[in-house]
Amino acid sequence: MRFATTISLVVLVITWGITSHLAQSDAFPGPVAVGQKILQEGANGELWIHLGATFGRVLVAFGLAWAVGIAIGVALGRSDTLDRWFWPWVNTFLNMPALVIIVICYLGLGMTEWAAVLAVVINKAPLIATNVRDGVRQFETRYDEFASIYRLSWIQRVRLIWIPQLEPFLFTALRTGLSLTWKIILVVELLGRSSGIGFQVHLYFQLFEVDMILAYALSFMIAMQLIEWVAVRPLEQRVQQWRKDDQLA
Amino acid sequence: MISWPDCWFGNQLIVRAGDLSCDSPVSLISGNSGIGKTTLLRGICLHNAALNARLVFQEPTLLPWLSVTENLKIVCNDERLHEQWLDLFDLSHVSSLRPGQLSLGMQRRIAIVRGILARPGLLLLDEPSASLDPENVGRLITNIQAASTESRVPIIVVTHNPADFARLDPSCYELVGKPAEIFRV
Repeated sequence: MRFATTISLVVLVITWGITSHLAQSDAFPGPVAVGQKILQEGANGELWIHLGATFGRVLVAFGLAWAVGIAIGVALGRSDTLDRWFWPWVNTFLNMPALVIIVICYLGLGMTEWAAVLAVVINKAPLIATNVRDGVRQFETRYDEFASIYRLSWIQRVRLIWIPQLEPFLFTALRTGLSLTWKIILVVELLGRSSGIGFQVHLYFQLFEVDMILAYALSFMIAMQLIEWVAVRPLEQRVQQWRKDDQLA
Repeated sequence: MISWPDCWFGNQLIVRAGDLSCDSPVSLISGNSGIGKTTLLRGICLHNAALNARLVFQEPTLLPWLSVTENLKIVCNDERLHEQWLDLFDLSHVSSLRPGQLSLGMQRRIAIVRGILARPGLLLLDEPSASLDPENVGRLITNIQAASTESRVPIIVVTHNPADFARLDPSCYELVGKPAEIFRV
């Protein structure tokens, strides 16, 4: 992590501490109180159970949304006919409130795990499809012509020509998709699950324990940030290295 | 004998059907800018698919995210052949670099190597000397001559500057008119 980022985060925590101290309210606990709750919940194992439950849902829901969104995005990006007919559908779902979709899925399928996952997939796939469709529309036709004249197989076209051109759009979809997915998962859990960070937030909301609410929410934010630093950013830097090399050249 | 049908761009006839004899290892088609030279090459390439015709584009169209060797691997997995041809074209030292790290002249020459490694029955070069300085044009001509001798593949070059290629002793053709027709010069 860069020096400026570290200092910036430290300043944010200090600002939070000072503001909380000045507010002198149970509704706005400071970083020390919240940190203690995180350690306490971590030590008794509760934190890991709920963190794991939410994390599992995020992975399954985002994985499915990613697969469905990419398939729809590629189809709409490659075919003007499909785009003319089905883009209005994607746009409609893109603008549908997440809460409405969650409630409809729970009412239709019952308070099940699959209803929860389906609600997130319906919410997120249109956003990923939109990103991928925009990426596919910017494909350079000369590479398609090369693939056609040199008779590249479909696997070669996808692996060597499509995916590298889509990479920036896939990473944008990954970032925005992941951050939005876990926020929707929290609402899904709050409304109809008996485990996960959202469930804990609901529980401690009823008990009016704001420090516990913040402890669970902050834990997941830290976990997601770690995924960004440890997995997403290094992977992005590796696959996009050629762009930097070209700029230097 | 290489032939082609009428070549259209949208609903506009650009080049009339014709043929050329390929009686020299290298054939040269010249014509003014915009007359339809590239359209003709695409027409020849599509119509002679049975010959395994391969087109080397004016823009080299190497994949910028792959190294030179990886670009060659797309059409041929034999690394010995890569080395042999890169050596012949005096490009061995750039095999691990990516296209964006090379000059336009080098990229064009690597695109020609890739075209040859695809084992074509006919190699088509679209304006290979365009935008190159005289020194790079000289290297390119030497490489095309070596490619023709070593591979024995008939080569058709289109250019608006035929004087660049005189050293190859080509059969010369010219595109004239609108729609264009081909004539032996």
